[in-house]
Amino acid sequence: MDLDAIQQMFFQESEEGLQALESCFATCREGGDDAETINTIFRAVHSIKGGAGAFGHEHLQTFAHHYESVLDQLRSGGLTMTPALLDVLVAAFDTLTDHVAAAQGERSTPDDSAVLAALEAASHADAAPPAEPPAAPAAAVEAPAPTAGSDDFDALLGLLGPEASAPEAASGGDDFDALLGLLDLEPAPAATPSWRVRVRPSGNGFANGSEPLLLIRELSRMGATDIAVDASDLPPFDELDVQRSYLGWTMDMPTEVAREDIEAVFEFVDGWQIDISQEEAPAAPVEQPEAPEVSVEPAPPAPVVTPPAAAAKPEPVEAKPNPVETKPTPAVTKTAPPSAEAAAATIRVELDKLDRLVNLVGELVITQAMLAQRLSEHGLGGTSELTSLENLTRELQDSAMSIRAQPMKTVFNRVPRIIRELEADTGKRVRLQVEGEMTEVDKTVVERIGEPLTHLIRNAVDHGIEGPQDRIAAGKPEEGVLRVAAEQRSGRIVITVADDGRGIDRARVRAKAVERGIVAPDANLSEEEIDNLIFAPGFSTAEKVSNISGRGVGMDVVRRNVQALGGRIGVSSRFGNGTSFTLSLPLTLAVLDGMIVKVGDQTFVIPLGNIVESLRAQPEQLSYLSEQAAILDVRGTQLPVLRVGPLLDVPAQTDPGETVMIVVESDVGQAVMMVDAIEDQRQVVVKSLEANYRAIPGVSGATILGDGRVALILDVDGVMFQARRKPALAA
Amino acid sequence: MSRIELLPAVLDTAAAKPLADMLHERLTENEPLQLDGTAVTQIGQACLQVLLSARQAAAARNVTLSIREPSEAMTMMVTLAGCADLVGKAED
Repeated sequence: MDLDAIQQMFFQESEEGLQALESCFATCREGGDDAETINTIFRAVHSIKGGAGAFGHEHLQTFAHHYESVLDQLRSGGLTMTPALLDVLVAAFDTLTDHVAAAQGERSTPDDSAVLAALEAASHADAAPPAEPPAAPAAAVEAPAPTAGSDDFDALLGLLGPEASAPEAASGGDDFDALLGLLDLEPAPAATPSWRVRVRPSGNGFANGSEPLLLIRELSRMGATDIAVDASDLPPFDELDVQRSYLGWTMDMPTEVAREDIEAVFEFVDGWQIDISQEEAPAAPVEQPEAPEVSVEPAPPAPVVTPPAAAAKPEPVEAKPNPVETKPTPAVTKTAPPSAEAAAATIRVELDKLDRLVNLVGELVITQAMLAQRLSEHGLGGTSELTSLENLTRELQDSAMSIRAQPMKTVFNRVPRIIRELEADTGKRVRLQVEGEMTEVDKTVVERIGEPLTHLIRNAVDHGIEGPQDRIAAGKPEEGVLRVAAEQRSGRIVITVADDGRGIDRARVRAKAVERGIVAPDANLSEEEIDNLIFAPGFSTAEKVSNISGRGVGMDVVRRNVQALGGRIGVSSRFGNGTSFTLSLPLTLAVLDGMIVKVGDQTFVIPLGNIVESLRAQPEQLSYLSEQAAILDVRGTQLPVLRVGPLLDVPAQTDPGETVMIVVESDVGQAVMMVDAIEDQRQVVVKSLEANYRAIPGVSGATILGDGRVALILDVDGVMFQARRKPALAA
Repeated sequence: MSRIELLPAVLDTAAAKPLADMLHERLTENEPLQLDGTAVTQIGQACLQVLLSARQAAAARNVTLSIREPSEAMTMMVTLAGCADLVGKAED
């Protein structure tokens, strides 16, 4: 695994950590700030800090360090949780999220000075009596944010604390005695027990751009003292392979640093020798002479720099009365942090491998269907073995799909922050209600639903929920309620975004639609149709353009995004009482329940999600606007008849009496699709046309049927759109 | 009189080979060598090893190899790595 892959893993774990943090803060808001929750928060921030250090993300690491310090005080009882502190911690969490995004190159480095100052002030809240001077701004206290790139070693000076910027450090020149003084960053306690840490990178420790010194520096930042290099393996200059690592280090680490924290530094390295043992430190300082003697021995194999501590260190004494860490730990190759007990239940799998599995299972389903068809042609269709194979295949397919399933929580966890930002921007107060966050849906859907959902939420707060004064005037609680819910219903996931705001002002929507030429002034529109006008391209009722929900171009984009996922969006509203948007999406994009229909000599699949009913048309149900344009009366509702054959240029049955009428619905309403016959109803494996051929209007994908034929999957919305462009073929 | 070579700003793993080549060449001249670290903004383990090993080789030849005017960044990292003596006062 190369460094990029490991770093990617770090980012994934950071995302998970951030999600855990959001959940924990929600718990805290409800008064659940118990020790375990605080510990979980601490651990998540600590892990992010460790990884950031390993990969040289200085800004992230520095910020996480400050954040962690306050959390550490909180978990050790030095601070008590108050609403004010929680606000600071949540603000810091948002900044941490931004730092993680910046480390991934998704945004610029956030300005964290205000939050750092707030953290610094918070860290003194309990400890310092009011008479003490206020805490200095964090930036002045420690770790000025480096301005150079993340891997710029210039930043090291800043990271090493105020001593590094002391005048003598800047003196430059060749007065190294002064510079050496920098070594004494922390006065080592004279006789306190400490961890003895021995580290030796693997021979290929520089592979993939790894830089062992970064980890040594991280240990130094954590409080390591007496860092001594072991260069005894360094070969003669003529034999030196510059790509191999020959050095090792020994250092002391205060016992206040948890063992797992030390191990966490090496979380992302492979093949290193790492030995952490506990021992009683000698009463007197061991080493670090001001000007170490350099043994420049003629004999090449002799170690060049072997400070006493490295060569002549006594064996570790395992006699520390620390009950937690008494077990001796042998030198290990590639650390396995003990905190990984929970990780044993899960493994990480590359998405590519998963996709290949799902694809193969899809092929298996197709092959099974073909086999079944072939056997049935020979009168063997009903054999029990075939039924078993069919059941197993379906079960295997469900299992494979469930591996890709993710809880909606991963999307919903981002909502609180959006709300916080909106509250800050609008001055409105919003209470978030989240339901069904554990509802699972395919990863692709989870990944692609975030944007439309965010837009709906922004829209609800910006346009829906009123300001506090307006709400009080309307007899509502000052705080608005935004409900975000997910549930599985009939094999689809239904996501609801509902607010208790002012609702859609239909008169205004209609007026605006008329003004923009979207509807005719005399159009007879139902309430539902008026509500749906907000999805019309370019429609906006915003009196003033805000930077929150954009320029009113959003809702049609939301609808398009949802449709691209094979979903539909609906809106219902009561003026004065709120608006509710409902998104209905398939649980997966890889399989689809469809009706197999014949049109001429072609076979098509119509997604069951679009089908309302199917019927044979009686002549008296049909009325004709022209020879080609028909209207079907379905129990009093007049629906346009879409002749699928002509629409897709396929020769087909033209006599309505000989065809099947399939009533379909989409976001734009209902219509009737006229096909020659219904063949079957079954689950089909969706194959992308875009990936394998090219996009075709009115067709959303393809599948392979049991007899090996390719059947196109109709895009009902697309067909209805086509019909509008060819009105002569529809009503 | 000793020869002075200016060290590059970035002494990362990629810079180790050119650095080693340069030092090999200079050491064959059997002249005192000073490496000017003024410009160094970063140094990694690979170059640190090269410097340590080269100094050892120089000593074996009774040739002085020293680093003069190391930058703060260089001093800091080399010191952190337990090799403070490497950036000791340059000998004239």
